[in-house]
Amino acid sequence: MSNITKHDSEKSRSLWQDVARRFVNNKLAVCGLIFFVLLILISISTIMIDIITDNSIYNEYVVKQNLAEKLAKPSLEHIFGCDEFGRSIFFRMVWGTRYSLFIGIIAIFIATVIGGFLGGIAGYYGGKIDNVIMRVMDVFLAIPSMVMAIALVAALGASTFNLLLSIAIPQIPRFARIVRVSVMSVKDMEFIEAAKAVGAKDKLIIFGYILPNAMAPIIVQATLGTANAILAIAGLSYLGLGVQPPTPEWGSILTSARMYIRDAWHISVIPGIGIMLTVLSLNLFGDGLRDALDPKLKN
Amino acid sequence: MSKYIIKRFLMLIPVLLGATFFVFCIMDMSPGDPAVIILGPDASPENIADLKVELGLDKPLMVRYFNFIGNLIKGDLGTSYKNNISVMDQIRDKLPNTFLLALSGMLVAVVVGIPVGIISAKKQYSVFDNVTMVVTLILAASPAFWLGLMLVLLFSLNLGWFPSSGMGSGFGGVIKSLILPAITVGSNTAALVARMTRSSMLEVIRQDYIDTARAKGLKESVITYKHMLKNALIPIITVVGLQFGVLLGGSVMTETVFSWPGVGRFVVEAIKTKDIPSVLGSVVVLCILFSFVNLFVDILYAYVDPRIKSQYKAGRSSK
Amino acid sequence: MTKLLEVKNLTICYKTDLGVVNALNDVSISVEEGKTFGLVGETGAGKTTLAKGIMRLTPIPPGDVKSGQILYNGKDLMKLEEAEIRKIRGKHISMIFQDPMTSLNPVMTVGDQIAEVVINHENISVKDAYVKTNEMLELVEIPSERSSEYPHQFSGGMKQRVIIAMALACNPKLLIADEPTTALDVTIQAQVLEMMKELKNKFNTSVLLITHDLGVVAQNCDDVAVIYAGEVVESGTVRDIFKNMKHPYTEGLFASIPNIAEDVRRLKPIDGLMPDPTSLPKGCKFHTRCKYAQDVCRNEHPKMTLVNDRHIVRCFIQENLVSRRDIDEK
Repeated sequence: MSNITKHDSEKSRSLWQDVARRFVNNKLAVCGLIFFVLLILISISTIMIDIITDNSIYNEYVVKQNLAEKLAKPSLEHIFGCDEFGRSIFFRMVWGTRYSLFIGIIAIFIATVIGGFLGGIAGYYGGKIDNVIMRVMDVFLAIPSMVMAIALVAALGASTFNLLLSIAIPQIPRFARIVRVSVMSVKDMEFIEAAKAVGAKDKLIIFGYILPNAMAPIIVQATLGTANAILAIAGLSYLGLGVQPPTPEWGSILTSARMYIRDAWHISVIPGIGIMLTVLSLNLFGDGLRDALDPKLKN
Repeated sequence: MSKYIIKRFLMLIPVLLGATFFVFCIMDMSPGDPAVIILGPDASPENIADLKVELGLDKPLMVRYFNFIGNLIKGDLGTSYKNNISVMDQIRDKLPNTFLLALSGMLVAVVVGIPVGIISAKKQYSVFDNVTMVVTLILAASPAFWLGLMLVLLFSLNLGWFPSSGMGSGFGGVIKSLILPAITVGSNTAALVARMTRSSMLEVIRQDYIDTARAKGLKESVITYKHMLKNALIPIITVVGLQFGVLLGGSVMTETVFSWPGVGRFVVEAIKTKDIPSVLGSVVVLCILFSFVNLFVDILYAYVDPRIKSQYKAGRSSK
Repeated sequence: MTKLLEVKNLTICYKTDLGVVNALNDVSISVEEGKTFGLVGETGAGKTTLAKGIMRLTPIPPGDVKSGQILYNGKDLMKLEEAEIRKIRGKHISMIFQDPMTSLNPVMTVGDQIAEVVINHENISVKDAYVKTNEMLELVEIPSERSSEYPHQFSGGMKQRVIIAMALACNPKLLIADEPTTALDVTIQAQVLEMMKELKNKFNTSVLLITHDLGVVAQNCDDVAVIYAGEVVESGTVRDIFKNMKHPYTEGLFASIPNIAEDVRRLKPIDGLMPDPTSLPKGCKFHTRCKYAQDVCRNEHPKMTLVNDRHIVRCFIQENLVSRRDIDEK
């Protein structure tokens, strides 16, 4: 029994090195990661610029209307063209990166923590607690996530914070299920019994032993979940139920696209490609991570 | 088998009660007094108080919820704040359109996704396989409503093949106006189904019973469709069922892009006018629809996989 | 005695990411009509590759059949079109796979799976095919009422009997049984083997029995070949191999199983492991584990040498280039 724990701790470094090696060999996944890191850097630098310049660049280039340039086609001056208020789509997209990205990441973080907590308790204690928690999760799963998000926004009102909640809440059951299953598969292993035998407390067993071993599927699901969250955010903003204008979220840039689709194709095409590439990079990264963590799953 | 169906049906009831209760609570949290919304800000306090009693808003949450459920069973979802028309009547007009759209999207996903997945798996690493994998990755990463915009741009405005919005009249007109929205709704799922079918087929191809089938001297086509596909479809059926919820959500977006007269567009309009009974009614109806589709998928699953069926039989005899 | 099946110089390799796996190297065996031929070797020696190769079921890619002939009744199966070989499979040559748990299609009833092969090959009505199916099931002592049940409703031994019924349904001339009892409990093993033997005699079927179990060979086979690292190292009648073994590997195999007649305190396993098939050693493939190995074994590849007209062995000892005494006396 103690053999297994010892073995695990000794091998843990080389295990992660192994994962890293497999991941680096997957070119697409690395591209996904690089693109994603790039987007984060863009988000952070625009936030920094806003702080340093006291929003003057934001006000001047991102939200200020300039009707002379209304619906301008892509050109050297405005490489992505302008929207119906003559605002540069390039600037709006660069400044909008943070909304799509950070709302998605934070929402999934919330869902992971809450779902992980519920799933962890259900899986570890089992019995009645498990039954109650998972039946409630079943109820949540009976509501299509987009429909639930719409209902939440409808009830709470459209704002960035409410958007965050309405993206996070429907995702909770998925994380609860995943964590529950991994906890249940880990908790009966012998090294946990060994820890119990030497009198370790529940808290130590859960956080010290079970959670690290259940981490891999959670990380993968979080990455892929963020991709889905970004799609959902764009969708709600497109419907006018998410980030409110003039804030330049990518989905909200597309809101007016349908109306001007005959005269200004670029408003429809370009922000969509941005969303697509972001989601694609996260999916590639997530798939690569899953294959690297569990090579058995790979075909 | 009929006992299994009844059992599944009974299991659905608590889930549906829970889901509707949750939705009811959310809607109850919405800011603003319904009586004020209906009568306008200038109404006298007495009128507002009277209306509250009339609407039953003075009663506790649980009482109102059970009233709501009681009325729902009778087919009454209340009246719209906006125009005093029965919510049930409005939904009854629009739900078939949404169901038609989601179902057509599913049809696109299955009819395209499964054969593409099969060919990709049979010709793993071929040009076809590689192209399919790239296309499905892109489709899966694209927001459905954006794909709708791209389809409108290409097929309606540039090529003029299909109408860009609304629902045509007559069978041909409906079909013609349904094609672009159905592709829009189904594209993500088609990509998912194609990838799943491929990996599921690749899994099955390696199984020993496929060698057994080959050793029997069967034709490759018989092996593919009779022996591989039926096994490969089992995990796909579950995904397709769960995906129906995504399709319903996607319909909301797609209906807005194409001005499709369905429940989705109705909900979005209702949210904008703070018409709570309409939102609540639509969401509840969509949840019920989704649950019934999942029930149907579960039954189908038991039908396709003999192991599930006998598991149930074994469970029954042991009780 | 007529030779029903003759495999001549069959060489098969697999191309993998880690290199070329030389699974079978220049293998020749022959199965006589009505006889049982045993093929013995360790896991990974190439037994299953040979079985699948005869049926032309080698997965390509990664597999690659380099050279060789498979003569069935004098006809070279390697030269047949895909449509022609399909008429051989299941009808003339049948196969039983190693693991009965995974060899039956889980979503088809066992009756459908047996009937399928009959309908495929025999020119009879569907109804008659099911009559035949029921007969076959009764023959392997499974009540025919159970033909509408699914594989998961049967035990392992019963599944293997279903597979035997399926394999024999078209009355094939040759049955290839790839470790048919390895996955079964010992008590069931004997039962299944006994049944195979009975049916073999009844239908006058020849059997190619692949196994790693020498006890199974002793009880069931007429002729034996011992295969090591994709190469036949010794072959002959059961008597030749059991009473007059010549190859050090064959000796090692016998020394590593318990013998009730002798009071041996310790079993003697063969030292070392089978060589990595992606980089087989030069010379005799067995020299890395052979206690008699000399320079000639490390550099030259031994030829097949006749001991008597049936018994052949691939060893330099038999070619009189290496002597056993060098070691045994030390």
